[in-house]
Amino acid sequence: MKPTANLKAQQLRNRCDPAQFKFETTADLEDPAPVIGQPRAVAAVQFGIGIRREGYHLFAMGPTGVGKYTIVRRFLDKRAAAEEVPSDWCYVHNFQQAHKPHALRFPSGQAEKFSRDMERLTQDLRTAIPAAFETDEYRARRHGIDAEFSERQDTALEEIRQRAAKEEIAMMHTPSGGFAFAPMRHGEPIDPETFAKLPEKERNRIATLIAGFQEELEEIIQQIPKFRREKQHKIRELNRAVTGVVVNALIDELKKEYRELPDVPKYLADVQKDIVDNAEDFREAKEGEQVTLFGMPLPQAQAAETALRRYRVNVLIDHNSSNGAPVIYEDNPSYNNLLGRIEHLQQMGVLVTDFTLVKAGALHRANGGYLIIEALKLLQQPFAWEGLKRALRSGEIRTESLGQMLSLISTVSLEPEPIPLNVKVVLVGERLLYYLLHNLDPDFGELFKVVADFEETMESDVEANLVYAQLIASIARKEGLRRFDRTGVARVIEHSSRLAGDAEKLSIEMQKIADLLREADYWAGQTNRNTVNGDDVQRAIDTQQHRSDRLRKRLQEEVQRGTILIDTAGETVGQVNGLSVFQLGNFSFGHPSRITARVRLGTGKVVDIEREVELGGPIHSKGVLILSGFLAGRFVPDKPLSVSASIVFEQSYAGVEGDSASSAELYALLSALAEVPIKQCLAVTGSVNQHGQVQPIGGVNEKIEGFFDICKARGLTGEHGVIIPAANLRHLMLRNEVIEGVETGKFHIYAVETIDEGIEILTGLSAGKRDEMGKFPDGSINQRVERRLTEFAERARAFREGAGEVERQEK
Amino acid sequence: MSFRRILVALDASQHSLAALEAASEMAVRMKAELLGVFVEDVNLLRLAGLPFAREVGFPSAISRELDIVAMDRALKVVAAEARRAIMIVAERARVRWSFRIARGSVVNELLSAALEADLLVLGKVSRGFRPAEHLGSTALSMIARAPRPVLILEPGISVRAPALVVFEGSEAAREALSFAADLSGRFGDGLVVLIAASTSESLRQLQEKANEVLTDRDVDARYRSMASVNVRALIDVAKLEKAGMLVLPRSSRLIEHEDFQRLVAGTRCPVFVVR
Repeated sequence: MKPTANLKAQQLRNRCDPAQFKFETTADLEDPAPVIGQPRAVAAVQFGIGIRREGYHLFAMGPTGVGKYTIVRRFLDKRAAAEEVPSDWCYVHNFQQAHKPHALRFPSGQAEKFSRDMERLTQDLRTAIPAAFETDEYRARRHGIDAEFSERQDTALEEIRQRAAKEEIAMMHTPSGGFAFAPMRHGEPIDPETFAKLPEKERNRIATLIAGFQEELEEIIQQIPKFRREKQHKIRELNRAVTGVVVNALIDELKKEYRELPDVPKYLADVQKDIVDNAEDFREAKEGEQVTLFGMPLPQAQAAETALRRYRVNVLIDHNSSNGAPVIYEDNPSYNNLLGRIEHLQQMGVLVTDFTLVKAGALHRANGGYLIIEALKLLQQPFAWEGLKRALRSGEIRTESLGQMLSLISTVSLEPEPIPLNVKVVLVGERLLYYLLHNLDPDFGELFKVVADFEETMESDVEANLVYAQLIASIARKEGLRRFDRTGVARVIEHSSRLAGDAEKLSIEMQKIADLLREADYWAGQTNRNTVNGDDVQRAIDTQQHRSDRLRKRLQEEVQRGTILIDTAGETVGQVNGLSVFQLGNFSFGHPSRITARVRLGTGKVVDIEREVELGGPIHSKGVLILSGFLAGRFVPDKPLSVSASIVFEQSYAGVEGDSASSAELYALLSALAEVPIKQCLAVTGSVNQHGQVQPIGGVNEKIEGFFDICKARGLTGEHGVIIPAANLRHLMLRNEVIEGVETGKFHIYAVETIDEGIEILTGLSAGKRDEMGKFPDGSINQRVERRLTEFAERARAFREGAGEVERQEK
Repeated sequence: MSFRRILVALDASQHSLAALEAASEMAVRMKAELLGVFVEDVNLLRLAGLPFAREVGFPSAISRELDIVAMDRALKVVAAEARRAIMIVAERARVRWSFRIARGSVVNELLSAALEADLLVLGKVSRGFRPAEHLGSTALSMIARAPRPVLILEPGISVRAPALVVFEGSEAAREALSFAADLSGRFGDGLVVLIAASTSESLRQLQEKANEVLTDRDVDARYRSMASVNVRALIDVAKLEKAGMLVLPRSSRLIEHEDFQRLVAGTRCPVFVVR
């Protein structure tokens, strides 16, 4: 055994010595630099925010809790504050096409003013227009038109009446409202008998005359609707002239005020024309006159409101009280919340809408600034991703309802004029999402060209520890926690290393650290102390673990009761304790599994039982196949490998994945081949390559602790230990108990680089190296393995020859 | 003077309905009863009997043949309408009423019916196409020949105080003044007496005469005077005094055809003509 293999206690953990800190408690510490340990991400964020080109949106990726949002937000806030406040936007009525409201742009803060101005305009007109119609001038002109019309009508009728009278024919009024002509004698209509007595010539003359008058009268009466139309036209012209004067005076004022803005004067001109055309809307309904909608009576105030709605201004975005460019975080990035929505009002059971019901979305609010969205939330919302992409690609926000977009509904809806979009979108999410989007959506790469990859760990050294202490101090201050003293800080830093799974790193998953600080503060409070020390932190860690510990305890219990068969004493051939890690939510723990191998004469195949039953994952199978490679490469190179081996994880009923047990499998296989027993007081982890080198694995701390717990429960004998890959040395951050065990010699941790080192520890026999003759030393493990394999090969050959013999005899 | 019965000539036209409203108002004030009369114009029946009789609809301009049966039926329909109108108005005002249908010449029938009443109320025109300022022929005949005071008014105008009466000293003028004083008593709110006098002497005399008529009557009379009373001047005074009704003696030259029409249109007042 190499002297370095058996690890010393100080190698098992990167201790954070409280003595290295000059401060007493975190109260003495200043806040750290705003961002620590993320140089790459920060550079990417700065670049992504700075570059103003199409498609340079930002994706901040990294695990949850490393402060992606906080960091991005901090940079955005800083930059946005120095940028100019973007324009305000309004929707106004489109007088040509009512279903396509116009968007108007205003310098920031002016939209609200314009809206108030328009409101005042309508209020003013509501008094000014009726007043204009009440003037004597208007009344006189209106009567003039009425009189002119009736005069025209009457004159025409009177003229024919007089002509008829000259011919002694009376034009009479009939009870049904019409006219009839009757011949007169002595001022009275002729009665029929007298008429009958007239000479025929006279009768015919009268009849012809009357027929002529009737025809003329018909023509005149037919003219009357035309007269009436002319009258209506004249009245309209008069009304227009009267309102025109009032409206022009009021609107010209507004036009002058807003003449600098591009579309506003045109809109005001439209308003002007529309008001003149519809002046009636401003005249209050007369007393007792019922205003109706679809035949249903409406309260008068509401009727006027309805008619005058179209002169309102829907202020979509008002930056009146903004400083700098907006930075918007949309917590619920649904399609409507992003692109705005069109609401409907229920009116008499019908859904109606107009431009005043267009509501802004996050893109409207963030326009001219920055929008932060969590990628996962965005993708969970139906069509939100599509909607966002479309807006970013087209560079404009087109608000339409989902139903409209999918052509599903046909209620009255709107197509508001799209608003130009200039926004920087920052998506925040896990790395997996970034890579999935990149793979699956070709548009993604085009739109999100900048990626900020956030680290979950940072380097650990004395300087870094101090920065970390400052970070702890700032969190404690921000959260209103008790002060942490040096021991407390040191313990938190150690735990942070453990969370990073690396003695040379510190975790910057600040969420977990903050949780730990809060809990440690709680425990300090429970013991009525003003400062949090190392014990409180330890208690917080222990209780955290204890709370999620049920399954681990159950497994250990089953081992103690012998339901799960794990030996921790004695020696057995072809059997070794492997170590695996269980991940349950946030909590992971290690647990030993028994791995066994059996061999017999065969055709060089190592059977992985896990794979045969499809319980083994591909990486596991790969590890097992490497074993065949190792055997074939090292032993009996000149003969076919004539062994058949089977390897199994005993009592494993769920899937097995990973190759961290491949060294253990190899030890079991070698032991079975050499027929040398393995010490069951040891457990093994590490993967192996075809050359027999032991390679690092993950979760080394949990694995060691898992075996330690089992041994401790059965009583530590001083024999117990775990063999780990040497490359995992720097990952060791073991808990105190284990370190104490090693210190007192009751537990051992061996770091090995090769299979040979490992097998020596496991069997107590030398592994053996080939001498110049190519032979392994007698009694060594390798020699025993080779002998066995040679034996199998010989026997296999004998079998083949024997079989040939039989065949020949049969012939 | 006491009013017992007020005659209203009905033909279901807009003007006659306005007359009906005014008559009902008068009946309430005077505690009198209403008598509605509808005259089936015999001239129309004659016309319908002619072989070529046709009517041209207004405003449809559709020409229809006329015959006696159809005409008779049409008159019955109008009469029923008139009856319903008076029933509704009178019952709403809680006034006693009766209704009568006569057949003959409209003017003659109304004149004879007027003998049974104390006041005759007429619309400005019956059904007609006449220009706004014209009076109907029936109205003109009634003003000239009615044995009782006649009230003429156009739609939309109601009778109200104060009354403006023109006084030039004649017997008819005394009657008119007395009548106006009565009305003022019923309506309250005074009486304006307009005296036509060219000299201050005649003015004084006329004023004395008027005072004679008005003694013993509890009427608050104001006097105005002018050299000669013409239509324009009268209209101005009516406007100035905010007159609610106009009372003229039939002897006045103002009831001559053209003047009277201008007067009715210009003052927009109901006009009483007293014989």
